[in-house]
Amino acid sequence: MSRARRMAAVAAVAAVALSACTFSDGEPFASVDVVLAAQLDRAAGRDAGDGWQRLASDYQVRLEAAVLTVGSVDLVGSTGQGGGAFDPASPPPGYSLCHNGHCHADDGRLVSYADVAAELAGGDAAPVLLSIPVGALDLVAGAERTLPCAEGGGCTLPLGRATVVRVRATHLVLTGQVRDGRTAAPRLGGEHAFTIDIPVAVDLTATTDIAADRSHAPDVAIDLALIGGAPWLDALDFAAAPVAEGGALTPVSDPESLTLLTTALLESELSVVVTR
Amino acid sequence: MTTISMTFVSLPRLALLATFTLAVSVFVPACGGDDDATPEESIDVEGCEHLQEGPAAPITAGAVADETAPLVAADHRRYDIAVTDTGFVRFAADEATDLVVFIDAPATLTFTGADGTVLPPEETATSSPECTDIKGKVTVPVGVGTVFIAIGPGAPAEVSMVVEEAGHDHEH
Repeated sequence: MSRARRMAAVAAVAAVALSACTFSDGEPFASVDVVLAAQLDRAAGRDAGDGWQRLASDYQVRLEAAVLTVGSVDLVGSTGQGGGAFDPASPPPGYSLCHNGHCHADDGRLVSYADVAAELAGGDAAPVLLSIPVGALDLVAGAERTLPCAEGGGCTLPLGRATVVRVRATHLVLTGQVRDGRTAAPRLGGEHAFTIDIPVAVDLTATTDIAADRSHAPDVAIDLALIGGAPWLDALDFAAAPVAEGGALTPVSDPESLTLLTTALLESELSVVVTR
Repeated sequence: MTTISMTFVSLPRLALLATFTLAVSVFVPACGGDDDATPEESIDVEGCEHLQEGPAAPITAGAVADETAPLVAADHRRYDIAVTDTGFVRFAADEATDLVVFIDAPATLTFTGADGTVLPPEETATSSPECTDIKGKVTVPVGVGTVFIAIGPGAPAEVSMVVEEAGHDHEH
């Protein structure tokens, strides 16, 4: 064997040996740990003293229970179709207003920018790369939970890129006391109990960029933080609320008030911090 | 939002040298709008854009400062307000902020809290270098709660209004 051919053979063997070091069979492209924290909004500007919080409507509330049930936290990829881009300042046909990450559809839906883009791109929904079940979050007590993945196998992402984190809220319970902050011409006399216990279908979304491939470290930590409570009640008319059998006001009792609550939920503060 | 990225890189070709790279980068997203503009210029640009292009929301001003006065919001819309000499609209503030109200016609704007207390403006103007559409601009510090905006007396039959909150991201 000539020297050149010997060197070529050695190089080939070396290449195979080195390439065996590059890939580890069976390792995921990305392994994700998700922590979801939820707490009440306690902004100083809302503090009316003694546990009472001001609302934008001049009512004041003192929350006793605030439980948001989250069906799942999803990591969503892009459609990869390239189309569907739109300018929120100029809502596309079928939508009247786009702001704060969602658009108001003519049929009454509130649609996230990602879903509007997907609809415009031909109707294919953005792929869900990972879905993690959650459950009830108690905002009054403050919840912080490391989310376990179902079915074992850990939380792994397929080859690709997650561009949206989606928190799917399915039920809301809010109870407490309400009074009118307007003393000159009060709409509501005295303090009253109120209760909200309703199913909701609200997707809270935040953009992200999580690559799952061999050129990025595989272990990814995602910290989600959700703040809510009093802001969800800002637009509700407590004086017009029906009274339930136990005497509590039920300010979400018709489609209009449900839309007001849903809109407020969609504008919740959701933060995402990714470390790897 | 702060993103911390740690990148671990292994170079097989240099496996004998065992090279590792650790990089930490911190990104702080910039606020929306023109990065070269001051915040005041940016908010005037936003006011101009919506006074010129809408989207429009026609409403009729209420006769008194109560729940019958229609709501206006800082929602990137232009409110085309029908007024009979004096009219009222209301704004529900969900946080303490500086409210910035643009109008496209000369008119007196007076801001009051729900208890009738007049809220003094921090700044007023009757024009802007950003566009000729701005005929009035008032900046008023407000707390959480409802603010009533009186338009007039002597207001034109229609006044277009855009509401912004200073310090907020003005991107859609």
